[in-house]
Amino acid sequence: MGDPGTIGPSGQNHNVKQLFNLAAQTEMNALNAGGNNVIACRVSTIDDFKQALIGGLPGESLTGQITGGVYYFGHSGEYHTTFGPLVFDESGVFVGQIQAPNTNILSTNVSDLSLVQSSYNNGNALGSNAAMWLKGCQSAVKFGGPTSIAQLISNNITRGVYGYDVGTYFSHDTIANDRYVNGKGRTTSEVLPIYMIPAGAPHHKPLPLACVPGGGECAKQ
Amino acid sequence: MRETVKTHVRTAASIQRILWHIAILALTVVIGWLAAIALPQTARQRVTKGEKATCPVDSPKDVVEQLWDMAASGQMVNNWEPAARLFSEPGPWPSDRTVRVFSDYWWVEYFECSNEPEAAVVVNTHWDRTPGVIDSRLHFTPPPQSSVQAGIGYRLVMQTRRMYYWDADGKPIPAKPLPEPKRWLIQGPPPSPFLTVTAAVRYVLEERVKTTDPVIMKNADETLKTLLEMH
Repeated sequence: MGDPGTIGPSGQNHNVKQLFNLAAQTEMNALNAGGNNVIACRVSTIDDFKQALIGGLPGESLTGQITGGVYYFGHSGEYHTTFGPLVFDESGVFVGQIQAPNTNILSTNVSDLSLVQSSYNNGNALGSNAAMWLKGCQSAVKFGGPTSIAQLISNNITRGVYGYDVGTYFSHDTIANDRYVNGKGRTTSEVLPIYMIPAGAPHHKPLPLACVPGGGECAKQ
Repeated sequence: MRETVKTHVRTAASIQRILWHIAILALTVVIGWLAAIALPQTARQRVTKGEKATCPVDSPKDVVEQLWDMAASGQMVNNWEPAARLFSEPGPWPSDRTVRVFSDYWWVEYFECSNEPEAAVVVNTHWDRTPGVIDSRLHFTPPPQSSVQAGIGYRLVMQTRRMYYWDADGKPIPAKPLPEPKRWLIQGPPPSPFLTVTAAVRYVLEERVKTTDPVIMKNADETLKTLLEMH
């Protein structure tokens, strides 16, 4: 889980409080019920993110290879940089909110994740059938950049990554039962279960885009 | 008959010239459009010239952090000169007296140096594409709401600092280099002053005390109410 978020000068509050944690707990409960071993980690920087994948976070009990998959619950979306008259837009994973470098995963630092490829007995920390799901907003959108952050992560960890090209919101209902188009104007109580739902017409919610390592771009399934 | 042919030839030539102009104009528009697409993509990928190099100890990152520390402490509006001197083309506080307001959450997201020597530093300003603005009458205009995280990029160069002065009429005299070693400076003139939310609260409180204008006092009260909700 990433950091909950803060408030900007527009007054829009991006602090989701416990909802990322509870969404992760819901996913964890479902996976545990299916007989899977799950470890949950709080991450605030790209380094935390990387360490979580290779079992290096303090107190993390991961000792072997991740054979099932990785789920990230947190902020992501458009990152807009101005350089004088020039502007640059790309997608990013906004892991943390501490005031330090490398708090986000962007095109400029995503290559740090490539260590994952050699950190389990000189092999990949993620098993050959493992994939990563980015449960956040628009990580598979390019926003005018050369490629999306979901695709870049896939290239660097050499595993499949799934990310949405739409925004997401919280709901107590599953994706199949949720009756809303998006989360605008609604608050979600901090009670389980919590699901992160992609924006879209009810019962016709979009699937995440699939990103395959080695180039190309995330594609619809 | 000959006149008619001549006229037709002239008309055809005019039409051809007009078509050429249209074609050149269209080509210019297309080239401009392509440049507009291409430039933003390359701006971040390689901001500095020359080979990429390790940043020196007195890192350009520190200069940008110094600027933002001044914004977070409120020094930028109380004492403009030290902030202006961090730029290669220092100048006085812009006369419109507007102050931009960024989130309290900022950090240096990324920096790189080259052997030119040049450097690029990107400060993450956290949520919202643009800052809010407090005008000279202490009225606050927030930016449009968005789920965008934003960064401001600075290009730095190794130069001698320049000092600017005013003449007797209060007009700035062109800046002169100071007799001191070169140092990292942010390229160009300083932007309009900016503060983080907490510093902006203090700024508005201080400015409110100075005025007796009821409109400004009312604006200040509303601005404070809005800013205090951003903590």
